[in-house]
Amino acid sequence: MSTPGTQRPVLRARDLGKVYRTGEVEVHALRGVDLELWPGEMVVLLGPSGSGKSTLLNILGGLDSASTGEAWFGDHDLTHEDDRDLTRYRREHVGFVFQFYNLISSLTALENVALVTEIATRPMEPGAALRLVGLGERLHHFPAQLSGGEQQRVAIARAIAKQPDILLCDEPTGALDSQTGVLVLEAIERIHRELGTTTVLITHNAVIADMADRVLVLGDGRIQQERRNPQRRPARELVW
Amino acid sequence: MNLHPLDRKLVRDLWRLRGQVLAIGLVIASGVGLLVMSLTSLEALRDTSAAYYERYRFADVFAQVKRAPESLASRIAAIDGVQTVETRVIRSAVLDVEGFAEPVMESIGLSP
Repeated sequence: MSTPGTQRPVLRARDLGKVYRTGEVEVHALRGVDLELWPGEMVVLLGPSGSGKSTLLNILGGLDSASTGEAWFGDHDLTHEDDRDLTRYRREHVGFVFQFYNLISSLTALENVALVTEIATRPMEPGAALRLVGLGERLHHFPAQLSGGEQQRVAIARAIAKQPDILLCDEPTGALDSQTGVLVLEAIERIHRELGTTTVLITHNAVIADMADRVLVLGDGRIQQERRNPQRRPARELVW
Repeated sequence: MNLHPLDRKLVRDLWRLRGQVLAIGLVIASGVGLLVMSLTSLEALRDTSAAYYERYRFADVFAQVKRAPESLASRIAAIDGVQTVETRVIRSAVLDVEGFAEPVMESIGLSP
């Protein structure tokens, strides 16, 4: 993992704010967030529901735009890019994993991953991506023939098959039991280790924070606490 | 054959929904059939009508004019598309008709 001082950050945000307006009502989801993500780093965003975790992740991933402040990917100012540029940014640089797998039910695991590699600029072979998440034996199974954990691992394979610079995971274990959740976290951990992808993982499960290099605790739209784990705990040792 | 994943999805989805696809196809086919049948009937009725008018020399146009001398007939006949001109004087008159207690008003045409 790179550390501040040795390399430029992959992503950086300055005074990032986001306000959702519904008629007269204004909801401040983010209130001046400063953040830097370094190459090869694994960061866990921890916080209760409504603390702004997903909003921050969506802005960093180019799915949403900030109301104030700046977000930069290398030299690209994400806050001033149009939809076309943001789509290109997402397509070429970002892999998403959500709580719900969003797999296409009438395509096999291999075909779900191939759907992404067809349009990626430097894709890995779909089978290799699935083998990386431990699904080498399940390539030709349909989502309905896979367990929840396996479906989530297909979603992870789909996210990393384009070899993104950043992997953004929004509650990837949220819909899974702890045993299956550990399997999914092991897949994320292996990808991070073998591909060196900068990984941001959202959770409200404090135990998962132990597997990160750095933990950011969000509350009320702000980063309230930042700590660095002296040693990352392997995912297989996590219990909740 | 190496199909694109989205094409495979389309084929599988169509096969999975084959009952519905067949039903929708039949509804569309009967709709199109009904439309073709209606258009054909309409065309046949138009042809029949035109043939009847032609066979019985039925006038396409009845036009009334006031204070028009008979000499105008030749000018009307010269209008493009007019095949035949037949002139007459039409006036209303009160008639005694057998079986009717009240007087009957009738238009009477007199050929010159």
